[in-house]
Amino acid sequence: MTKFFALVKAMFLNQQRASTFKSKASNKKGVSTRLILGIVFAPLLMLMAVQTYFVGTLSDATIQKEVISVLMGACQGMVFMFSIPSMLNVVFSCNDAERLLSMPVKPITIFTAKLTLVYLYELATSLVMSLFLILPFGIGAGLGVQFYFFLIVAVVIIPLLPLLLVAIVCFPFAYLSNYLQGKGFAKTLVTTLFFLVVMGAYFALVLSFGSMEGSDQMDFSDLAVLLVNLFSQNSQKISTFAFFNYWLATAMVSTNFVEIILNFLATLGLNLVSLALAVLLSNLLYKKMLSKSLEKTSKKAKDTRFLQEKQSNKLLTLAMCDLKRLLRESQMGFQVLAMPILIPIIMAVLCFALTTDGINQQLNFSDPFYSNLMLIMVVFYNLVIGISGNVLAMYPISRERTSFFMMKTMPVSLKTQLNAKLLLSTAMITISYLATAVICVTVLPIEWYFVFVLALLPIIFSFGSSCVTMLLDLRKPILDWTNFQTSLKNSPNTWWTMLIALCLLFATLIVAGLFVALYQVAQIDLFWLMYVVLIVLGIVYSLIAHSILMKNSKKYFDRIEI
Amino acid sequence: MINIQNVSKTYGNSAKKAVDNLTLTVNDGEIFGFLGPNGAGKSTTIKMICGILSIDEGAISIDGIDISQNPIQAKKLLGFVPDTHETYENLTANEYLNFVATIYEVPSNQVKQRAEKLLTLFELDKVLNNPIKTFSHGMKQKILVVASLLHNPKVWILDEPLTGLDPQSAYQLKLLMRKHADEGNTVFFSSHVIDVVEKVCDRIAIVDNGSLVVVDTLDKIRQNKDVSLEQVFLKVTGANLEENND
Repeated sequence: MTKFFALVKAMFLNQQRASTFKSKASNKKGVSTRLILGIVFAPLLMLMAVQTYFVGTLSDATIQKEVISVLMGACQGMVFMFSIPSMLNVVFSCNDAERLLSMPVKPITIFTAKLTLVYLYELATSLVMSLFLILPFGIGAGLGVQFYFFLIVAVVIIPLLPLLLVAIVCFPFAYLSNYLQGKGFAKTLVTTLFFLVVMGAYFALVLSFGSMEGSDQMDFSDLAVLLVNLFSQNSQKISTFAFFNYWLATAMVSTNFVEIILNFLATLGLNLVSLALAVLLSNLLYKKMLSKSLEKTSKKAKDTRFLQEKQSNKLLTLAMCDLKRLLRESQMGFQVLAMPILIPIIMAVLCFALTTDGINQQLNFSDPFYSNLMLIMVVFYNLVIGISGNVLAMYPISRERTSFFMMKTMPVSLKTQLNAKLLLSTAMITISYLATAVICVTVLPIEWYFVFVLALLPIIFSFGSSCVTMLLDLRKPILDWTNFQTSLKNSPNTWWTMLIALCLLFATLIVAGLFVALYQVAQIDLFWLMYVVLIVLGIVYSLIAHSILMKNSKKYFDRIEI
Repeated sequence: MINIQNVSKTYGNSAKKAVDNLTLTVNDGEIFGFLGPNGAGKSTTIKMICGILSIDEGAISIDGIDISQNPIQAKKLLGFVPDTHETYENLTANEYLNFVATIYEVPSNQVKQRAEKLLTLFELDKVLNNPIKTFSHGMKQKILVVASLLHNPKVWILDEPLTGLDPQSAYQLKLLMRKHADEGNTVFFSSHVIDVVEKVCDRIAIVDNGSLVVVDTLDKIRQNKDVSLEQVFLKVTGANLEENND
């Protein structure tokens, strides 16, 4: 156990101390990051808290267990989504295999230590989600001390099951990906496909809840009442499908002491069995996997002559070089590809959901109000998800890591280098936006020419945001990271990017709101003007952002000392 | 030619200067050895010459071009081999060399000839299509050497270039350094391997605590032929030479 704790401590500290470039003004980093986090997530979390509070006030004792089970399931869903990349990159990436295998430590200890590390990261997710989802329900339902005691237990237990599930699911995938050593692009593709399959399964599961009895009687005016009705009608299903949470939920609200103890022990037992299963698998495969990761495969050279490529201009050469490097590094490639692929897929699912009969009857798409409202919603979706998920734009300098010296030594102006990075990030997200727009005009009852509005608007705003996030990364790049995924997740830039996306959302919301109000009050259809105004605003924003980037980049670039 | 004039550098808020008022001229046609104990300021100086680090005080020029005032033109004249073996590891050697050729504007009709010659010399021709990340440390070092010479730089800077090289490659590298200098170029070379510096370099500088301690030809530094460069180095850097009898 001493070795286990020593490993956990060393890996945790190593990860946490992979700090940003130390500038004179970096002392307030921690405070500003927390502030951004708060601003970004506070509205959403408060909305959830208020909703579950009202569900609590409306729930009687017969459905409390079911509601808590589902709320815990929602928390586990978040942990599940967040932990897949962490699991792949911390537990299965094997970057530190050489160092760890040379130590007198069993592979099983290495595996459990790394698993613990991911668990510690996800504990924060569990805490936040429980505080804003489960706690308000307990307050609303007026539950006693027993609920609050087991809530603490729940916070600790919630991440376990999804993590172990992810670990077990990831094993065969990680084993396969180790056979792709040296085939970087293939490995990136396998990683991305794996993520998409798991996410697809998750979405399918979530959407299947939509088919539960009573969902077709949606009353948008009172979501809390609707939810309570849903829980009442589906209590049997919930207790069967979410039995792992149902046991702990029963322990939280039951008045029978024996029932409390038995359900609590059953919860513990289930988690221990899952842990044992994951550890058993690790014992069989983990050492082999770590060793395999150190075997550098080199294909037999087909051609020993130097193959000269046609020289293009420096901007394109830099962008193409960047793209090749990214796609051949599975951690970065996964991050770069996953979101642009996921954006149109999620949109396709939403579009199909919007065209179901029930919703079609409530929303009359032939009415310009509804059709334009839908278009605006798609633009908002693209803006928020596209900008906040564009890793190429939010981490352009930090991703260089030890190769950063190349940026300093190559005889190419900084402006050209930054424009090459902007070109790449914009090109990548453009493909995603275009695909989303084509899906929308194909599936939804809107005219084909709206594809230009749907794609153009987010592209313009994304370009401007890329300039801002690039400048932020130039100010405080993180060049000493050991794990790309974890570094990205902990970087203030990630949260700044989300804040920028939200600010843009509010700005466009105000403009759109004016035109929507005009239509509702005076029946004046000037939605075409709304798109023109938004495009002009986007162009102005992008031009200003690009100009600021070009003007200030050298100052920050020169300050970076390696 | 490299001209370093009264250059100083301090990291962050540190009270100590990493490089303190360094003045040095490295002439065309010579191999210049740059020695110093760990933390003496060697890498900081090299990074300032290459434009990686900004210069707090003073100026550095490459063949008359100021690296701070006109960095792009100055960098075109430089070939740099870092001590870290770091490069774009996910590119193949072939792709990396093509990338460097474009960035350093090597004329199309010269790229293939130069690359093949150097690749054959360092026996890298058989791994050309493999990703650099599958290379050993020595092979990475060799590909960096090849890349740094592709544009036939006027000034060639090598930071600890012999680390990880096999004896054959180390020998080839030493010959290349000599040849490059004999063609009228400047070779600036930092190393901890004093024997190699002694054999290869025309002039030597020793830095300690950020300041220049000695700069001259080997013969003048030694003064007496019975004294080795190692002894001079240990003496001028104030090393503790007492034997450990424990």
